[in-house]
Amino acid sequence: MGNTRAGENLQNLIDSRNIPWSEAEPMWDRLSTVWAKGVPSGSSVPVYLNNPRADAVFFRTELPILQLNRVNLIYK
Amino acid sequence: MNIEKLIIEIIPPSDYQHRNGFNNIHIIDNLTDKEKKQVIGLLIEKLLYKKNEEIDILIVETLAYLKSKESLPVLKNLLENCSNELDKLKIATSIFEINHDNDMVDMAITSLKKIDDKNDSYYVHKLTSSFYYLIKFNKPEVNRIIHEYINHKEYLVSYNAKRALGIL
Repeated sequence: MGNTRAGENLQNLIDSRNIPWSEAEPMWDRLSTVWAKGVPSGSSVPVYLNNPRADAVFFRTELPILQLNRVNLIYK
Repeated sequence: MNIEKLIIEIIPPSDYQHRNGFNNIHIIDNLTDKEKKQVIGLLIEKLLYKKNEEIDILIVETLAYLKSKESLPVLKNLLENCSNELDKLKIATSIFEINHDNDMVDMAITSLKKIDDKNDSYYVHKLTSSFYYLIKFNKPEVNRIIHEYINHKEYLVSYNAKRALGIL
């Protein structure tokens, strides 16, 4: 997400306004939600996880939406 | 290990690349008692010299995980001066993790009610995050409040309420 154009724009906004992570995280949540909703049903998405927290953005937003839309998750 | 390097590993830069899903528990669990004491001292120092709006909640959570009673005066001061309700909820949870102060339960519930504000365009995401902190209280009255969200009209809210409660 951080490497997409939308993600880079959001990071630039966060940097330019010096937005703390606690306020930035819901912004990333919303961007992740928009992204996940745009993934076509039946397509495949690679997932890279490294000892994530239970409340990571992926688990709270992307995973439930992708599962709901029957996207194939390929864990790397 | 060099303590400054260790602190950077435990509290990495607060951007998406470093913080998305970041978990430092595996690092903390491998520290010696001496290293834990040094880390606690430096983390408390970091909180002391920040403005309230710059508070890094990962530091607060780490002190809670370390059960640092020395940090309680600083954490309570942060809580008193905090204006962000989600941060308040997280700080209250952290204080409770250290000292089991039941006043923190009420404070967290009060913050949750304020977070549940449809006029806030981020309220869905703030609610979903809140559940994973509230569940740490491990109190029936708090779990009942999370349970009230399991049929919420917003799918992410209902999904995360169920997931936090372990009923998914």
